Amino acid sequence: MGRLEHQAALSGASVRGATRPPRPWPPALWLRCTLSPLLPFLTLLVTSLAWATPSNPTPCAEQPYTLETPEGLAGGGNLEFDGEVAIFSDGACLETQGLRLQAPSLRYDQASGELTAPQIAVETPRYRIWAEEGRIKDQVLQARGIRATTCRCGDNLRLLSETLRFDTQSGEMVLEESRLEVYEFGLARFGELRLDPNQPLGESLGLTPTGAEAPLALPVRFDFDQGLNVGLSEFPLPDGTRSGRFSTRLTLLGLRLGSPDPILRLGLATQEKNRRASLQLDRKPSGFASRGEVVDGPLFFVHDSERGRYAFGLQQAFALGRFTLVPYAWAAQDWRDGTPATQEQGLAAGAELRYAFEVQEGPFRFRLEPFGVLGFYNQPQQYLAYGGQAEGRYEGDFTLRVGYTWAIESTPGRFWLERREATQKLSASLRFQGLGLEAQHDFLKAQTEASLRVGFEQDYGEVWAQLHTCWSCVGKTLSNGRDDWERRELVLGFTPVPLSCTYDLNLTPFLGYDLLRQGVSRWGLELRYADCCFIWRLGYQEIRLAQHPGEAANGKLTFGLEIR
Amino acid sequence: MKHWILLFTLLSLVGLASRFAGFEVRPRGNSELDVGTGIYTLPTGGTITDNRSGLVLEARYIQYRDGDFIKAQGATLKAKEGEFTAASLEYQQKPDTLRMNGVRFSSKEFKALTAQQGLLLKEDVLVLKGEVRSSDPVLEASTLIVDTAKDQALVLGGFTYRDGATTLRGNRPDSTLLLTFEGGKVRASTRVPAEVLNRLRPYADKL
Repeated sequence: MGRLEHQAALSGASVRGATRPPRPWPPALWLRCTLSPLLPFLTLLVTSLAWATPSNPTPCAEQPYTLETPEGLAGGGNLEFDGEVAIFSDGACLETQGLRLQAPSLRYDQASGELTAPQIAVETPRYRIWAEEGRIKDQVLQARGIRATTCRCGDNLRLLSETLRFDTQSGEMVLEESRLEVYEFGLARFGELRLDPNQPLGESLGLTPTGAEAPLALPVRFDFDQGLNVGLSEFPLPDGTRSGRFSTRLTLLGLRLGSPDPILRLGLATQEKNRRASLQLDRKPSGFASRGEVVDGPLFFVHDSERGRYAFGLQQAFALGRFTLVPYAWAAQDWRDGTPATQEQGLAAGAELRYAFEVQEGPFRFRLEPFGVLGFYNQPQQYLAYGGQAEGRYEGDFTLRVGYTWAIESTPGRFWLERREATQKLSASLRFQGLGLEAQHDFLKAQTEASLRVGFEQDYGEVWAQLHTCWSCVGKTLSNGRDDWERRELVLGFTPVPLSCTYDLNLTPFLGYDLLRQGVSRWGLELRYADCCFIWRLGYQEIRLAQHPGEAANGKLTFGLEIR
Repeated sequence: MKHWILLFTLLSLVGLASRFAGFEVRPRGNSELDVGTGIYTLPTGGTITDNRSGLVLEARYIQYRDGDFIKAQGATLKAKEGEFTAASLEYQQKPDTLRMNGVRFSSKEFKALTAQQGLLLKEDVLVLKGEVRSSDPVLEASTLIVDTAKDQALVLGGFTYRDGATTLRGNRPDSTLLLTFEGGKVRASTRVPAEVLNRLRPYADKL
């Protein structure tokens, strides 16, 4: 079991976020929201909701009068229809695939099939949009004078735009000549901004990795970990392209400020289809360090000055049915043990061949992926590595997974790029309701790790306990001057349900205990506060007894912000 | 009693095509008179024509009393408002009302208008209730009041009205829809003028 998995298990929110689908917004929640303990905000909440809630929240189908049109279901308080033109008045609405529109009045021309309305308010699963006027024809909404927001109430985070075009069939929403504002402070301008009405704003802007459920994280870092860490991290810069996505990111960070080893980091990254480039410069008391990569199709250049790694070359994958062939060639330099004493330089060329086999029968699934790498150098030496991965899985009332990973090297590879580290690992996991068991045995290291997690789901969140054990652990931690070959850590925590109300807060605490060394191993507390547009996070975590080679006993203060 | 009936059957056969105070009765077969009640029965139906109003009633079975009522079954009634067919029908001379069950009505405004119950009043107002259906215009309603003199029809309660690809629905029990027939076109409005509503709505209570 990897350290990252263990850390993810400790920070319950990320585990829950990854496994639990977003909760719906049941009516009962409104009641719970209004009973929020934050009474001082209650008045503001009611005020905000009063103008944020559509003036006529009745579903369109329950309006006094409805009109079924090819464009969707229109409804309203009253209707005049002369067989050609229908005019709704006294509040009107339109419901069609992917949107709900409201307006004081609505006009439908049966001959042209066009719906027009002034002062429209549109709701999609992720956005609320207002427009001075809108027109729907052929399932396409076109509107002008646009104000759009993802906020639950108010519009402190908003997009202002001249025009909007929303194809309800394809689900594509395009804003032209728009600008992004936060608290009326303009952040960016877009010529043509494409939004997915069902996706978070961060994903549409390219701020969140595609497919990730995680909300947009604030690209500003402010925490304390062996010193103050402050600055911009992967801060998106609009690049003026027509795509409207942020593809260029700036990093300007001061790390470990106040400690004897502060770092000033400057980074720039940009990405396009099939092309990406990034460069990061670190200014340390000991000197400069840099790392980066440039990838353009099959060509690439990567380097990491601290590890003495440089490479320029090409590699390209060719898929042939279940086979994948990746020929490669590069000129490279590597420090094999991380110091200049073991520097290797030269040329390498070769290929990797993979075969992917997968079969599924009912709840059973089996996957086998063997591989082999054959490489040559500009020296009388060749590289051969082979191995693979086999995995069996059962997904029914419970989930059981058993996997085996192995790799064998004939001789150690010269460069990190072609190297396939020798490994032999057997792993298994079992999940049943609130119970999760994971175990892994590394045959080469003769090391066994296991983790048992028990969670009790409640309406208000999950109370969980996790026992992590390790026998014959390699990469030992030190305590009281001796190696710790065995670890037993029990962590108790509570993960509240994700904040769904406005002006609401919750606490996420956890406490770890080292059963062998008889002491508190870690503890942490995170406070989350939700307003209309954002979720603010303030947390403190302290490791008192390090459990992994990568951990050090220290405290960490974090501050974060997410778009709701 | 039986011989009295037999006697008046014979008399009726003699008096075929006789007039009865504005009504002209043409029995399809026998006509029987119950002398005790003054009720005529046409067991195999016939035709009654009101020469004053132009009303023509054809039915498979008719019972009537002169100056009082006409009852019929399997009836077809041609009136100036249009043509009715009804499973059963009852005409009361005082007040001048015509009640029908299982009614089907066609006029220049409506084609194949059917309802469970119908009431035709002397003010040229037709009230229909219960599963009111029409094929042109396509209408489904619970209550319909047709003012044939003013080319208007008022729908009360939930309804479905279809025009081309467009379907209009009134979703509430207190829904109203005024249909106005003008130059071959139908105008529909849910906002019914108070004058029209106050004039037509009371007719619905008469049925």
